[in-house]
Order: sequence, then structure tokens, then C-alpha cells
Amino acid sequence: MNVDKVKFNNISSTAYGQTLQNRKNNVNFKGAASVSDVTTEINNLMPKKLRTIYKLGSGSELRDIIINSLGTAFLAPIFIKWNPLSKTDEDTRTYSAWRQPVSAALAVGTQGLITIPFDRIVVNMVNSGWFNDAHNKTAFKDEKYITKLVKNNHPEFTKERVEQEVSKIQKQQNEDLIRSIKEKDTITLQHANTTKTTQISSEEMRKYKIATLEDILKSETEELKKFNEVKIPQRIARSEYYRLHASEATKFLTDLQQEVNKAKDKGAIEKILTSKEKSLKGKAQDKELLNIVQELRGMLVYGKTEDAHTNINTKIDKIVKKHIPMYQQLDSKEAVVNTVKGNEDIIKRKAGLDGAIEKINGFLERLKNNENITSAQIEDEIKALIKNGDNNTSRLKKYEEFTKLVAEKYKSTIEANIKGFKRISGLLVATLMLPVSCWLLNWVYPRFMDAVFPNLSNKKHSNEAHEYIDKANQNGEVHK
Amino acid sequence: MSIKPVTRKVVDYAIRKPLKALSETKFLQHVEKQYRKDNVKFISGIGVTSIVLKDGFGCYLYVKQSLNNEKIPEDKRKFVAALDLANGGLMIATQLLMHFTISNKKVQTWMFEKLYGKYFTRPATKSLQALLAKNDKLGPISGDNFHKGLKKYKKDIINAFGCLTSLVAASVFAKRVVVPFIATPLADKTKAWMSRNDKPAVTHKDTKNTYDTEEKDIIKPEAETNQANNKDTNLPNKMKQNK
Repeated sequence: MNVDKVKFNNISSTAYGQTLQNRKNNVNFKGAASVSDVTTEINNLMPKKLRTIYKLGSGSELRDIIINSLGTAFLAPIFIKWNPLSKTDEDTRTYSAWRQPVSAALAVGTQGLITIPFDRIVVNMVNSGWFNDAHNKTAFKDEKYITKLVKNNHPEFTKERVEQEVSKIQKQQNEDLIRSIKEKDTITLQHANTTKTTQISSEEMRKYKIATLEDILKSETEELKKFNEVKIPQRIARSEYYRLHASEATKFLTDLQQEVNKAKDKGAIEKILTSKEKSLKGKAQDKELLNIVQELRGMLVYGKTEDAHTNINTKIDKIVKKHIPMYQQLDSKEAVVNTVKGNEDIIKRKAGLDGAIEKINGFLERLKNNENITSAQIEDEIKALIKNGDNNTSRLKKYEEFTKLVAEKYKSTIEANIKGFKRISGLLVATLMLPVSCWLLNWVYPRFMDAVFPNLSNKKHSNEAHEYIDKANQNGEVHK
Repeated sequence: MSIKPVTRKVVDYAIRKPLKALSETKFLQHVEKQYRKDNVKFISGIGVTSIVLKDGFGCYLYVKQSLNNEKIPEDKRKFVAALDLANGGLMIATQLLMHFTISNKKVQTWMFEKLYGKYFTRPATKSLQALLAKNDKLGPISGDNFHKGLKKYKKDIINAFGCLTSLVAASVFAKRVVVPFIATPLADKTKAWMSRNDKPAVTHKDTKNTYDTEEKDIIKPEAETNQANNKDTNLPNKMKQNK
């Protein structure tokens, strides 16, 4: 595949050139633990089966093609040739079964020569700015594409050096994207066959800001709904249970705590909790205790035995020493509801959710009313609200890096466009390829069978034909 | 002129420009809008259309070409075509079934939750967060970053799980084991239906018949047939016989 060297030079100069050295770091890119670092570390802490799924499931397209073809070549023929349900003669079934490996070999060939190169052409086109802005990935090029650029421009680089360069370029392009949104409220795009760049219009940028705010609003509204309809009722139900069954709950939990503390390892704790769970199942009035036991079991999933002991003890102590005494003194359900709703944490959380929804709605309205408000302004206003804020602004902390969120929204929008395009164009190419692959199979398959299995295709090999002639000569029927 | 610029021009005009034009069509814009909205129904509809269109068209082509392929021995041609038809039909049915079951994102998520949901419950993730906080390698991790990381991990692993289950259950087991297993006996019936107006089938004499015990008309090989005919026409033999 051709890779445009000019494009690399653009990246290269931005990434490593004088510009970079002179650039003032106006944007604060918090290093430490990034989301992807956290993801990697989470995977390291997961049990082996999940790590294996994570590793095997992220395989390449080529691997899928190979597995599919191996299945077609070696599995399918078995079920055709040795099919106990079929009444067709064995030779015909064997003859038909051989169509599968031939078709698998051709599928690998067709996919290798057409599907994969076609996919690569599309990837190169979106990364080099061949398409319109809606399919232009030049502001956040793919890792594979950057790797190819680096390799093409620096064939002398070792594998490690290539990886370092790719990682640097990726980091740099991400910072450039956020900086561009923050400082100029636009995104700069490159285009194929020209060194000129263009910038996304302010109208387009307005759409990205609106879409980002709408996403935040949707997530906060859902969270509020969950809070009102699930979390608060759940807390009320549990508190009411403590009020009505204080002594049983206390006895059950303290006994459980003693048993758990005697257990020497996680396996033993698991056994205790499983037996408790079994004894509680089916008893409607002990539903809350069952939930507590299940929550305690969740604490065994990660970490060592000491961690499990600490976590279980902390939770049981909190319930027995704080929650149960607090609710058992109340005399009615109404009092429980008022206590739960009057809880400081609950009030703070609700106020935070309400506040976030109100503020985000405010920004949205301003943008929809065509007010010229940049991403940086929204970010600054969010930060100011947090700085001066009360409970109403507690949830806004999640959105203080607003420009970063706009950049993410921009990326996901372009990715979605490309995904849709690839789906349709891929379907089109596959459909157009069908007559070719079909013709190819029909051409190759009988010829392959004639050559390799002449008895099955009722054709005699040339040496067998000679035998007939020799036999005939001996009988004196053919004279030279 | 070197070959590279020429190849580039050919690729530009034959592939890149048509693709660019395709990307700007109203239809594509509509499709992309649905992808942006993550409209599950629409995306699923495209998947179904793709299966029916591609496999249906493919099946038609394979059957038609097999039936008309004179290079395939006549006594096997109809079975090959019948197997193509049965295989194609079953493949569409299986792919649709898989599309709505094991390859379906919702079903995959449900299966994942059933099998590994315990690793992602609130108490479990709380202890995971506590463990991660002890990790010196990463330094301090904000609660927000932990939840984002966990959300990404869960999404990635459900995707990985989906890829594996689809590959093993749909691509290997269903398409390469179940379909041929059912398609082969079904092809017997399809072949019989295709041959309903034909004269009684003749089987080549070399063909082994291991299941059907009914006697078939067997074509004698050409050499034998000629020999038999020669009985009357071979002059020296005739003279011997007359003697």
C-alpha cells in the first residue's frame, strides 16, 4: 500500500521539530494513571480465565479468516462424507465433500487478494484525508497507519524504536487535537494530494459541543432516575428491615463475622458464605440478609485472605454498630423514609445530580440559541462553578476537562461514520466479488478433482489409460 | 514512466474516487447517521440484509453454476448443486439465528454477565479499586479514572468474549458442523426434487454405493461395451464362431 511521505513529514515536524520545543504548555495533560493504564492494570488483576478471553478475543481479522477456512476445509467435509443420515452414494458425497477444502483455499485467496487490500485502502484513505471531513481521521490517525508511516520513513529503526516513535506521535496528535479545540475552538484537518490544511467550521464545532453536552445530560438524567427509582427504594427497604428485625439481623451478622474470622483462607470464607446463602434462599423476610451475604461474597473476588477479612469485618461492623442501632429506634416506616431521604450523603448526591442537569441544560440552551460560546469558555465556566460551588456542583468535576470530552465526541462521531461506510462498502464489494469467486470455484473444483481424484470424477489417469491400451495391444485388438 | 504512479492512478480512478463518491451519497449519509446514534435496530437490519443478500445471491450463483458445469460428472452434478442449495439455505437460516442469538450483542452481554458478572459487582469492584490503590506502579488513581478504566475494560472484554463465542459457536460449530450435517441428507431430498422429471438416474459403475441397497442401472465401461458389440462385427471371431 502506498503511504504518503509528505503526510509523515507534517506529523514529524509537528511532533519533534522546533515548534514542539517552542510550544508553551497551556494545556495541562494530566499524566500519572491514564484510563488505558488503569484498564491494563485491571486486566492484570483479573483471574486467568478472563485474561485469556481478553487476549484471545482481541485477535486479528486474519486469524478469523484462517479459523473459518480451517473449519470449512477440515470440519465440513467430515460431516458430508461420513454423514449417517444421507442415502446418497459414498462416492458422490466424497466428491461433494472435496468442494469444501477447495472453496476454503479459494476463500483465503480471495480474501487475501481482495477483502484485506480493500480494507487497507479504506483505512489509508481515511487516515490520509481522501474523503470529506465526515470521514477524515487525519487529526487522530490509527496506530497501524502511523506505524506504517514510521517504518516507511525510517526503515533503519528497530522494532522498539518504531514502537516508541508511534507512541510519541499518538500522544502528540492527541494533545494537538485537544489544544486546537481549546485554543482555537476548531480542528485542523489534512487532505490527500495537497499540503494545505483546512479547519472545521464553527457550525460543525457547535454541533460537536451540543452532542457532547447531550451525552452528559443523558448520562446524568439516567443516573438521577436510577438514584430515585432504585437506590433510594433499596436503601429504604434495607433500613426498614433493620428497624423490624434488628435483633435477628444483629445475631446473624455477628455469628457470621465470628465464623468468617475463624476461616483460614478465602476458600473457607467462600464455603461459609455459600452455606449461609443456601439457608437464606427462599425466605422472603430474609431477602435483605441474603443481599448482604451476596455483597460480602463479592468482596472475595479480588485480593488476599487478609483483604477479605478486613473488608468483611468493616462492612459487618458498619451495619451492626451504626445502621441497625440507628433504624431500630425508629417507630414507623415513614420515619425510616424521612431518615433515609434526610441522610447527608443522599442529599448531597441528589443535589449534585440536579445541579449538573441544570447547568448542562443551561449550556445547551445557550448553544442552541446560537450564542457564540467556545469549548474553552464552557470548560472555564465549569471550573469556576466547581471552585465557587456548593453541593450543586459536585458532579460537574467529572466534566471539568470539557475540551477533552469534545475531542472524544469528535473522534467517536468520525469513527461511527467510517464504521457505517465500511459496512456498506464492504457489503458491496463482497456482493460484487461473489460471481468471481463462484466462477473460480466452478472452474477450479472439477479440474482439481479430475487431477487428484480421477476415480471419483470418473476420469482415468493417463497411466491408467496406458494400461488399457497395453491390454488391448496384448489382445491384438489395436495394431500400430 | 515507472509502474508506481500508474498503479496509483488506476487505484485512484478504479477504487478511491468511486469510494469517495459512495461516501457522499444520501443513502450512506443516512446509514452513518444511524451508526452515530447507535441505532441497534437499524444496524441489526443492515446485518440481516447483508446475510440474506450476500448468502442468497451466492447460493443462487453456486447452484446455477454447478448445475451447468459440464466438467462435474453428470451423475454427481445434481447432488453437488443440491448440496449447494441446501447448504446455502441452511447457512442463511443459521446466520440469521446466530445474528439474533449467540452473535447478538445483548445475548453476549447476558451470557457474559451470567458467567463472569461476579467480577463486576459493586462490592467486587470496590475491593478491586482498593487493590489498585495499593499499586505503586500507577501512582494515585482518581475514582473517576478507575470507573472509566473499569468501564472500558468491561466493554473490551465483552467484545473479546463476543468475538470468541461467535467464532467458535457460529463460524466453526454452527456453520461448519451443524449446517453440513443437516444439509447433506437434505441434499438427497433436494436432488430428488430436482430430478423429479428426469429419466431414472444411472450411476457410474465405479461409484460405490454403501447405503442404498436398491439396484441401479450401471453403465458398463466403454471398452466392455465395445467388446460385446465386437462379437458380431469382428470378422476373424465370426469366422471362428461359424466354424
